[in-house]
Amino acid sequence: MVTINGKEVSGHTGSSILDYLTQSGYDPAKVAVECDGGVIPRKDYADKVIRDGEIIEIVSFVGGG
Amino acid sequence: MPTEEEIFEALDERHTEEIRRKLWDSRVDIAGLGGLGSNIAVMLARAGVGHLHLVDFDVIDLTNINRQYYFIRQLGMPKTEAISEILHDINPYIDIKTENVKITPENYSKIFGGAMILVEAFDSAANKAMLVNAAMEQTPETKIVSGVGLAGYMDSNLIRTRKISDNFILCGDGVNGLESGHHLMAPRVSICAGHQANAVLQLLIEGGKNIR
Repeated sequence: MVTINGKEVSGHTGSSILDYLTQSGYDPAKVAVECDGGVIPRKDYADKVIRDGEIIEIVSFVGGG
Repeated sequence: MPTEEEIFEALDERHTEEIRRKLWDSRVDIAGLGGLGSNIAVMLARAGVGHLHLVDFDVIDLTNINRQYYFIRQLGMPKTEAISEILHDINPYIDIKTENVKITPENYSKIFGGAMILVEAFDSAANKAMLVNAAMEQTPETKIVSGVGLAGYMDSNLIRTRKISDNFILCGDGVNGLESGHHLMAPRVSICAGHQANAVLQLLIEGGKNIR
């Protein structure tokens, strides 16, 4: 079980952040991802594996300013 | 022209001397001087923030005037120059540093290294993400105040401020962007700019302890 954007979800431990983002419809070029309060560097999205108990926050950016 | 002392007295009357001193000694960095950045810079200047570092590479176009804090007489001017003019009309004694440059992950730390508070005020989603990631990766001690989801003319009350983590504050409705076919109009852009400027004041005056 992991917590993603405040919701407990199962079935994602062992996936990479990049896999999770693309499977969930996020554009990896338009997000910022934090895990347990620290940023996950963009270059690590493919390597960083989601582990049980982690709290992940994905901020998805939209245009306008 | 009022003296610096007279402006201080007026600000003291409005905000108290303690808050005026705190804000006058503060520096805020703003990336992007469009609808968000130009309005945020004006609000922070009126509040009496003493040091502003403003970065944008663009010039003013007629299509900017619907929401950005610029005037017809400034068409064609670099936004850095036009905003400096406006801010000095509000407070001639503010220390303004501008840079006319396109921000990338490569030049990020050269431009914003040492920034205590960085306001993300870009237009495109990819650039917003680039800046926030560069800040979190390269200057993790910098507090970022980002604006996301402010397009259209739907419910004003959807726009809010929330703390993602200690150094990352997000303002906006989070979803309504140019991608969803909405256009940018002055009221919601200004509302989001107001949220961002107020979050900056909360950070400067009391360390952001009341931002949730």
